[in-house]
Amino acid sequence: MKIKLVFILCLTAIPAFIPLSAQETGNEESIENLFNQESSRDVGDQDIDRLQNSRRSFLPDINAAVDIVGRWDKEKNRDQIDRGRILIKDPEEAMAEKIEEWETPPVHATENKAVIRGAEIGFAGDIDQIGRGVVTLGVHEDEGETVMDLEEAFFLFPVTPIPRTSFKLGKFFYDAGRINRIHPHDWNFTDAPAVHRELLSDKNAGDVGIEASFLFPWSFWQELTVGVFNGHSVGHPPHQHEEEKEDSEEWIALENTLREELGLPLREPEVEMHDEEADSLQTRQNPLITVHLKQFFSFGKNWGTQFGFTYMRWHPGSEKHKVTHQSGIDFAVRWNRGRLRSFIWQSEIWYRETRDKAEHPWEEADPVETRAGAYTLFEYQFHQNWSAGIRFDGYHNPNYRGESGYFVSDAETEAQVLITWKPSEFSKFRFTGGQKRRYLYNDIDNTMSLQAVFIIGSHPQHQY
Amino acid sequence: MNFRVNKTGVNEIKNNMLIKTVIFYTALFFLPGILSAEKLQIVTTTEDLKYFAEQIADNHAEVTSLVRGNEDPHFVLPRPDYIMKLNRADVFIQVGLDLEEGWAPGLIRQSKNKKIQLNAPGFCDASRGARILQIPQRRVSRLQGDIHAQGNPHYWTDPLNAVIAARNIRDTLIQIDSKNSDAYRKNFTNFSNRMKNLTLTLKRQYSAEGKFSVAVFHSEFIYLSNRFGFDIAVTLEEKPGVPPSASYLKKTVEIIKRKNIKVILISPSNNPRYAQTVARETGAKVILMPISVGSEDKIKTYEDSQKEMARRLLKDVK
Repeated sequence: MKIKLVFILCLTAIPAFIPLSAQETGNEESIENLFNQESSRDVGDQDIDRLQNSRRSFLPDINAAVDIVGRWDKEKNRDQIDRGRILIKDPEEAMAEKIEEWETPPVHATENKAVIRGAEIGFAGDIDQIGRGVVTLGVHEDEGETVMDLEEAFFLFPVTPIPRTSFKLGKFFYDAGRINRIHPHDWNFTDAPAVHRELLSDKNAGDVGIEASFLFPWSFWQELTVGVFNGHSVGHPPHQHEEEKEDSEEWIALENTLREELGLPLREPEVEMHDEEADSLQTRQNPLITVHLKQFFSFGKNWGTQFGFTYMRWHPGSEKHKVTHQSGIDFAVRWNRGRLRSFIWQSEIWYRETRDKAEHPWEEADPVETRAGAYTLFEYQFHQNWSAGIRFDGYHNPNYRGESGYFVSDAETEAQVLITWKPSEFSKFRFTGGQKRRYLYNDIDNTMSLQAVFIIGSHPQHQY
Repeated sequence: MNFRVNKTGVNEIKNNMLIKTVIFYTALFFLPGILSAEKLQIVTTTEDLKYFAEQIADNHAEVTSLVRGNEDPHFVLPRPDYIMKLNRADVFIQVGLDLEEGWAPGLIRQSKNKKIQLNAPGFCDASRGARILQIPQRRVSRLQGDIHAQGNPHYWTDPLNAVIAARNIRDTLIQIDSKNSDAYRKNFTNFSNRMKNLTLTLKRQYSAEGKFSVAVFHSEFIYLSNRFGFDIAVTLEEKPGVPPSASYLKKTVEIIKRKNIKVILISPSNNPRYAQTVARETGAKVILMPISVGSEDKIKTYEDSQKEMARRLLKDVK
């Protein structure tokens, strides 16, 4: 009896060991059997194992992105470029050195070499049933030293008890404008546009805070994001620290010797920020508030446009009586035919105004500083792996006081041509040729850059 | 005229404003729930899955597809209006096997809809239990192009796998909407029978031509060839998702000539340039296969797609 039972079991088990192809290309009867079998079958454990053994496991998504950028330009005499870059210790020695440098050695407006602009290591995964965690570490070179930054580290609560609302908590890039949330290696260009560099950051502006994002219940997509951040780092792009260095006592002394010769009023030494004041900058309770309202409309089968309005408010520096308001418009118009052809026109326009608080509530304070700028990019992907584009930049700081103490035009314009080769979603190579004009120095720089980016690890998330 | 409003009046006005504001924002939060129809809202990634879902759900659901039939589901620009569709969905159905890995997970998170998050009751991976081919037997690497670690994801082109996908959809709908479970079961049985008959009919047509070989651009006809018994002799893409090099195309020309292959199969999302170049060199004919529902205006059903593919292929294969 037992032998019979084993024999029957073996017979029923035989089909499971027949190769799949042999079963599937069989006769009509076997096809009928297959359909009948699948129609009545319950999914077996092996399928669950297959799904769980894939990337949907407990391991986080890990990726590393490396951004290599080389910039070159034509050599120039030093008196043709920003003289403020020279940091001099002894005025007399400096003057002699300066005269010598003005006469002889050529200099560059760019680094004139290739550098690892940044390497990012990212981790992302579901923490538990309520949240997702994202950590991005950035490694870059700073004056010969390798520095590691915590670029982003935040909770994401994609679903909350409040309908259509998600939250972010931690350190992350502000939802402001179009490119600020996108890591630079994913931008459609190599360098940040002048307006982004001057009014947000040369990479991404971010801070520790909380952000709520609400999806409106309309038939079209409209999302409102409101963020509150510490506000300690906004509005201070890295080069400003450089400018602070340039206005050192030594420089002011040198400048005053020149002023004396020219009969101009002497410049007062700048009062250094005391430690207490610097501390207050880090500890003051002046949050940065960001609001970004964005919407999307499609027209036709392949066209779509997303545009947004951003408002930011914070207290600049340590002066509590000053308030900065910054507004921006961003938009993108896109067309695509699968992965074979695409077109994008994207732009951002920003305006910043810093006001002293009015003495009385009914008074409106006058703006003490305004800055504005815009960029626009047109890019056409003419082959699965190739695209070409042009970008125009403009930035203006009408409140800049020059060395004479009078207002001078601090404006910058730039035109760039971009050609990108993207062999896959995981690597790209870009050539950029550009001409930058800085009105402050009546200076024109012709530059070119090469960028190489690679990503290893998990699949990068596509962006609209 | 003088209007005098006392302090109590001001407070009343303020309270009224507050009440109105609270009502407005409460309505804003719950409006979609109030306005939503009784029908289930199903969102699928592809038109084929949409068709399967329509066959199972019948008039109990409204089904929307994110990707059109002539688009490549591997590479989709994640438009924000997809987020709106997903936000209102009761059920989300994906092909799976990492086909939508580059765009769907982010959209699901952004949808802020708990019903369709990964492994929620409304999340349906249609590949569950499907008969998958080309599962890599060794460790995969991106040197191999856009390879899928879980196997070739174009499984729905096999009618048997269409039944399996429909079965997964049936099970999800029963879980979400148990009161209509009998209808879903009945509709699934009908669909399964239709697919069986379709397969038998097409099998006879393919068998009548005897053994033959074809060339393809992308490895998306493997399930069709496996089900109906023809051979894919060469793939014009050296590696999936990567445009072929000139030297590799030269090799494919030699193979096509040597094996006397008459047709090169492409789908609407493929770049036809490479197939046309090879066709000029070899004399083979490029056949545009309507591989998905909606890939052409006249391809309204899965049956239309299968029958039309068989017709075009068998017409020129010998």
